[in-house]
Amino acid sequence: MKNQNHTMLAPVDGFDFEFQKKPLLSKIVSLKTVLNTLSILSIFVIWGALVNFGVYRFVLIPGPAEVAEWGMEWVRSSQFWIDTSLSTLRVLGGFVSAALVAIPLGLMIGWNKIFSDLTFPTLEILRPIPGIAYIPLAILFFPWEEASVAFICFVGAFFPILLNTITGVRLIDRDYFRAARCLGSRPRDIFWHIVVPGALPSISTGAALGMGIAWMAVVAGEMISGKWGLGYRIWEAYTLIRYPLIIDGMIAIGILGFGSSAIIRSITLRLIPWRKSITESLDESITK
Amino acid sequence: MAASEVINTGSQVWKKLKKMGVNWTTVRRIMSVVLFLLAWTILVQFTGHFHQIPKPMDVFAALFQLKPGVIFVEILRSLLRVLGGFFIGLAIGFPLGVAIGYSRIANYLFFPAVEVVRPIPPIAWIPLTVLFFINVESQIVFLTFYGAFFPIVYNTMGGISEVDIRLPRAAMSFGINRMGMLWKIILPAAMPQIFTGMKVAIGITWLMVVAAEMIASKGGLGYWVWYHHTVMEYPMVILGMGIIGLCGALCSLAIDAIGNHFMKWRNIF
Amino acid sequence: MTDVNHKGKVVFEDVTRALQSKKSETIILHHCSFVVASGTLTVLIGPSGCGKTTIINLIAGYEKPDRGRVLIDGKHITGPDWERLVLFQETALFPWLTCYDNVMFGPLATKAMSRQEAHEQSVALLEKVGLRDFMDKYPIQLSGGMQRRAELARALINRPTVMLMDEPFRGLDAMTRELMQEYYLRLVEESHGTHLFVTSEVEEAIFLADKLIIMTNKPSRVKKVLDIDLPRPRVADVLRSKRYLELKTAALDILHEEAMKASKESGKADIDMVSCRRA
Repeated sequence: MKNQNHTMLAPVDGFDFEFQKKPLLSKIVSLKTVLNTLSILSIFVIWGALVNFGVYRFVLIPGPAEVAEWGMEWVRSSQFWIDTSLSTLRVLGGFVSAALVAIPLGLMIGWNKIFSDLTFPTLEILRPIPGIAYIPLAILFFPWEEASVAFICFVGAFFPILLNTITGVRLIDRDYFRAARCLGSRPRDIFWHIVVPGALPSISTGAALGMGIAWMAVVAGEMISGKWGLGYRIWEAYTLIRYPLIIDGMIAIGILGFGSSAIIRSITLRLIPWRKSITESLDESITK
Repeated sequence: MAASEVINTGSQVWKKLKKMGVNWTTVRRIMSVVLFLLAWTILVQFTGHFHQIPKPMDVFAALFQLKPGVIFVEILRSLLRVLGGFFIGLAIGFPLGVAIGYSRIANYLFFPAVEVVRPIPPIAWIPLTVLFFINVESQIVFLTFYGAFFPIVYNTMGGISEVDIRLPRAAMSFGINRMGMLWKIILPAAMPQIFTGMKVAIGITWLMVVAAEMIASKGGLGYWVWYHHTVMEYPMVILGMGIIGLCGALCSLAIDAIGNHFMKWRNIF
Repeated sequence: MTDVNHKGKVVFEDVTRALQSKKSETIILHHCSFVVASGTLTVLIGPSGCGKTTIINLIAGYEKPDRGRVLIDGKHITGPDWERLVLFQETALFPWLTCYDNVMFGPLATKAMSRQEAHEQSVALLEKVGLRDFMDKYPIQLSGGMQRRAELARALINRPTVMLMDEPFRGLDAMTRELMQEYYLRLVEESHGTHLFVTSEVEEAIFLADKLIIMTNKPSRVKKVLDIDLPRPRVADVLRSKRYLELKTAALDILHEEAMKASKESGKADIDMVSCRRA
């Protein structure tokens, strides 16, 4: 069903000022889909080619075929499931405890200046210290392995969640508070009915971010001090010269990290039904 | 002396302090740090479980045991790796970010690939890096590069695609060509966001350097901290953590300062 | 008032334009036609949502009509061009350039005149809009009214064939607004260019216009074109003349009619309360 009344306006200087009605077929197989698929495929193709033709030291690295083969086997082993569960548990432990501490703390800091003055400076001093640097301390604190790795996740997730929560409160339009006070609300009501819902969008961003960082932290923690877990498994694969598993492990962690962030985002989105839209994809905003 | 005289001098001192900009907020802020140190000391002193952890006083004492020559060498080592990775990240990430943000073809072609690789944590790359790069320095620099790369790409991309559409439109009405549009309009407009990306990137780069050094054991602050951990000199460990934090913060501030210089137009008041 | 220089005639011919959203299509302009004679200040006025900004975008070349044609001096409009400059509702000054650099931007980009000439004209224009002393300030340091004036200077130095103004004085306080109108009129009356000015303020519209085009609700067409035959140069006194009041009443009646139709359709306003104005 071609619509004849549309004239094509060639993209000018990279900004296309016109949208065109496209017939249905070209919507399915649009340039975008083609190039996107090409993009992802090319990763594997280039990878495979580099390994195959022994470019530089790529000959030492397993190719996509090997990785896939070993991966299939590994996923079926019980070891994989134990590792995954353990890593997930540690991440969740660290993440949930970080959220439980950071969200109330952040709400209070954003809400009350006195409280902010009393607590924020300490936090600001601690913030630049990378989570990794806490590892020796973690081992001291929690000689018991699970907790020490979870602690690293805690530190990793804590600050993004905290900062986003504080920003969330600070971004609430002051007019809401004034309206509430005019209507006779008590501070407690204002807190629960304005501050908390108002900060939720930022909190969800912080949570998704924190979750991603928690996964990074768990890998670090496990590589350095673990006996089980995906991070440890990757390191072991290296020492036992079972190289394809390294990449399998990396992929597994990538998927889990990405998936858990996405889950967090969709859960929190459910809590925020009034939110207008999810951030649109970048190339859509270019062509507007 | 009489109580009234004490109170008198007290209030005079307070007034002088207020003139210098000290007020209740500053007091509370200082209290915050003091309370933290106090809590730390108490925790270590009176709970059996944490007795291995050094007290703030111990850490402070360790400060004087630092040999400046040694510590500065380590700081420099780490700093060089950070800067190396950061600038390579900038060299590759910045043009890529511009392309993805500006041209829809580049976006379709490159963005998915980047998105797919991003969730893989930088640390997970360590074994592969050790395999691939012979030289330990290049291993570490690769990791720092990897850490800097994604924030730079994403923030550059975001900054460019979020440019207020009226600005390029206005420029087009003035008859500007494609190159001019990019250099004179799009990039200046995207500058703030690009600098945010650089700030985040340098923070992550520090993280990566510390992690890599802890594992690779070839000098640098991360290694320094880990070494003292293995010989159980815990005050040094905590001192080391503090120094790492300080360096990271200073780098962030440096980028801020550079940014503010280039973007005077934002906050002259 | 046509001019010796017959350039800048804009013809809007039977234009239809719709807005797409994910679920539906809203027709904004429907078989809309009008002519902007060269050398005139034509003002477009109409109820909100009637597509005034769409018309500006179509003439500027940021959008293309779904049906019909938009012509300038007989040629199709295919894209943005320095011939047709737009002034938006919100300032589009480049925040990273000073006032002076903003004004110099056009001439430097098109190389239409030498740098020396451009400099002289920039300074002269900035002087005319009263911003000589603020030449080296950044937009963020200027007030709203000053930013608008800077934008006027930036646009006019390029001597565009057609100037499109999309409610440029909206949001300014009454006194600044009056001042801006006077600045604008001086510049227009001296330059004899073609101007299309969009506004929702009737008084502003009549004060400025040679011709007044009144739009219907959407889907919009031209409802009526009024000839504003008040003498030029326009001064504040004209606001008290009899002819002005006649024109104003005529315009208000038409607009009121359209507003009533709109609220009847959407069922929003309380019709009885509104209609007692006419009693």
